[in-house]
Amino acid sequence: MIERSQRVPQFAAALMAVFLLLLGVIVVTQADRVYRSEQAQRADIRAQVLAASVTAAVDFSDLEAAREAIAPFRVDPATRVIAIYDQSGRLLTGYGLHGEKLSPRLPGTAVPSTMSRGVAPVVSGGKRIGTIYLLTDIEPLSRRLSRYALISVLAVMAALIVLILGVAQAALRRANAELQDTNAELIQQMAQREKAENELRQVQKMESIGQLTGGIAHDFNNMLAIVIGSLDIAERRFASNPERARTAIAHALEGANRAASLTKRLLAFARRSPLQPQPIDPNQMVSNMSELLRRTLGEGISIQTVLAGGLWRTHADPGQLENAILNLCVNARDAMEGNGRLTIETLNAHLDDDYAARHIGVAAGQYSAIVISDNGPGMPADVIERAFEPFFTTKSVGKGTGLGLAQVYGFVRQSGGHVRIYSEVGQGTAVKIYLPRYFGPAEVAAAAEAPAELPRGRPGELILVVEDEDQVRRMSVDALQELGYDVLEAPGGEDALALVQTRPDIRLLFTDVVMPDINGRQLADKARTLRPELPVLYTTGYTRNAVVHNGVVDSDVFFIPKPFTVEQLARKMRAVLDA
Amino acid sequence: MSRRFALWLLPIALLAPALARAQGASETAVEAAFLAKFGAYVTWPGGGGPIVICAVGRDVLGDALDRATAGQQIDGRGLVVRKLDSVDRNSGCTIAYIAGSPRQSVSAALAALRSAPVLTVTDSRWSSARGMIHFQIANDRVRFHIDDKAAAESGLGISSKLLALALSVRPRSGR
Ligand SMILES: Nc1ncnc2c1ncn2[C@@H]1O[C@H](COP(=O)(O)OP(=O)(O)OP(=O)(O)O)[C@@H](O)[C@H]1O
Ligand SMILES: [Mg+2]
Repeated sequence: MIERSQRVPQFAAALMAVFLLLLGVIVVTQADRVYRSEQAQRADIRAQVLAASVTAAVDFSDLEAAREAIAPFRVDPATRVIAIYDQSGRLLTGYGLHGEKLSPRLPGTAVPSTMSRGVAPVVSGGKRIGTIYLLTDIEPLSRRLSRYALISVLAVMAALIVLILGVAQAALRRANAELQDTNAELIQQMAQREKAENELRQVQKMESIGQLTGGIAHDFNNMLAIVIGSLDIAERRFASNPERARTAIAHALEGANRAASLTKRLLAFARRSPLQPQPIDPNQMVSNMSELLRRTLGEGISIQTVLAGGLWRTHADPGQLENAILNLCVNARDAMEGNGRLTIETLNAHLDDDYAARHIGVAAGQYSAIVISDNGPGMPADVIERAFEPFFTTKSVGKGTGLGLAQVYGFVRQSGGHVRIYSEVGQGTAVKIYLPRYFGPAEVAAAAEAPAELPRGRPGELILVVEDEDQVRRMSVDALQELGYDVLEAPGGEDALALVQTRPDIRLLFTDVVMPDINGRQLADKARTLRPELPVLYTTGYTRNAVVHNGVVDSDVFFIPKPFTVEQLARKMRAVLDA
Repeated sequence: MSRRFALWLLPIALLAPALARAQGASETAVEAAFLAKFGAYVTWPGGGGPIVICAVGRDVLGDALDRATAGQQIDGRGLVVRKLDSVDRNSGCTIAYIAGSPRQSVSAALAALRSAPVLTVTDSRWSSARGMIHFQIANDRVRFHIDDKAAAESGLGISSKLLALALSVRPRSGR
């Protein structure tokens, strides 16, 4: 196939070369023919001139005069024969030059190739009285050819060039074909490699998904075991030993809470936590946490806080940030095995373009940073690499969930920040959280102190609870009634709207966001066309829906994430009703 | 060199007898032949019609002129021969060969034809008076003198080709 396609240009080139040579030959012979016919014409014209000038001499048989008349033509070195024949073709007079003989009779038309012939009749009184015959040299063929040398050389050169080009073209094609082959091979190798890499990535992904589901199953199982076991005890001791039943129920509640916090951390890592960001002064937050930390970390750990003056504020969900700091401190404690020094430092940081370019997902700009460092054993490189993975832990089963750093990572990323681990084995570990600087107006951090008493409902405060799942609705209704509210309930949007219409004394709409017929947002909008001032409190376990955009709750919307405790519900209810 | 010289002399040598015969036969025949040819080299005012060649005076040409002109034409014009004792401008001659007679001498004939459109031809053998063309034997050949001035005065034009063969030419005024 390749062989054949290579021969095509070579063949074409040869053909072209032959054609060019042929063209050269044709041009040369044509030019030569033109030259010869021109020469013959010139000889004829000379003969005619001669004929005119010897007319009278011939007519009056004055051969002397005739010879005189033709004598000047002898001067031309090209002249071979000048002769005058009478009307019957007999020689009258003439010259034979350069060894040429005069023929006694008028010669025929045959002429040697090196000469051209001119013939003209001598006419007098309308009668032919004789003939002028003349032979002149023309350039010999070799001389003539040398005049066409330039054309010949050009033709030969053109033919040569075409031949060379043809050969070169063939060589080029061959090289090209080879190149194409290698290229195709390379592309195939690259595709194979990419496939292999994809497979590897898939395997790794499967591995972490396996780890993830395994971890979740394991932890949930543990928690469910506690809940089920405790409830079982409570059921059996309900009548005989109410005190024991109560502690069992408390255990069950604790287990369920832990399960709830597990899902919360999972959501945090998945960056699906509904965040309620607000302006935060990290210094203030760290200070507020010091008492909690001291209690959580134990006496073996000395805590040092280094707070920067003039620290920039940031904008984040305070609960999640607290959680993150706590997670990092607990990690440090665990690493130092209860004995060591923990430092919490705050500082302003400017991440420049260079830094941003070197770290994926980091925007250059101003950040306020919180650094938690310990003088523990540090982390080897492979652990640092995987530390943020959910369920990655080096701790024994039941001790660590591997979700601590995952929560930190998820939260920081969701808040537009950046987190880095700096650690060396034997030296200790520092984890830096960068949160974007906040330029907006200061706001009073409200969630400072919580009153000990649960805020309760006031008489006549009627709440409409809308929830499609019976059990969840039941729980909400129970909790609200316990807090002293009057409660109406509806399993869906239509029933709810009917109640809003008939009961103008409803003080608040408490609705789930995700429901089968119409969602909570649409329900609220319709209810507000009937009762524009009606406050609405949403709840959901998801974040990707009508109320929560990109994980951030709309500012004009009240929201309590599922699952919630009675205490959380109590505070939220009051906040909304008193707003 | 001498050999090549000999080679091109050879044809001349072969021709020589023919020429000798032509000359030797009779000057009269040559003159008659010339008379038959002059018409091709002369132009007459008016032109047209046959060329009438008159032999005036003594009959020196005999039937040579008749033979020379028999069946000949010059540029489509026929040749007619007339023999006259004397001539004048109304004789209808185109060419007049004047040999003279007791009745009219050569000079008288020439005077009679003065400024008439007639080519007058004389012969040194018969007179010293000269017409427009005057035959003379030179080196055993018949040659002629031309009086172009007289021809011009009679309104005739003589071709330069003919003038080139003349022994002498009396040029027309202004030439
Ligand atoms: N300060 C630290 N010093 C040394 N190693 C650490 C430190 N912080 C985390 N690590 C390592 O990173 C791993 C992952 O930490 P992460 O907080 O995600 O999970 P965990 O602490 O093991 O479990 P959990 O936080 O759920 O109790 C830890 O198991 C530990 O090996
Ligand atoms: Mg941890």
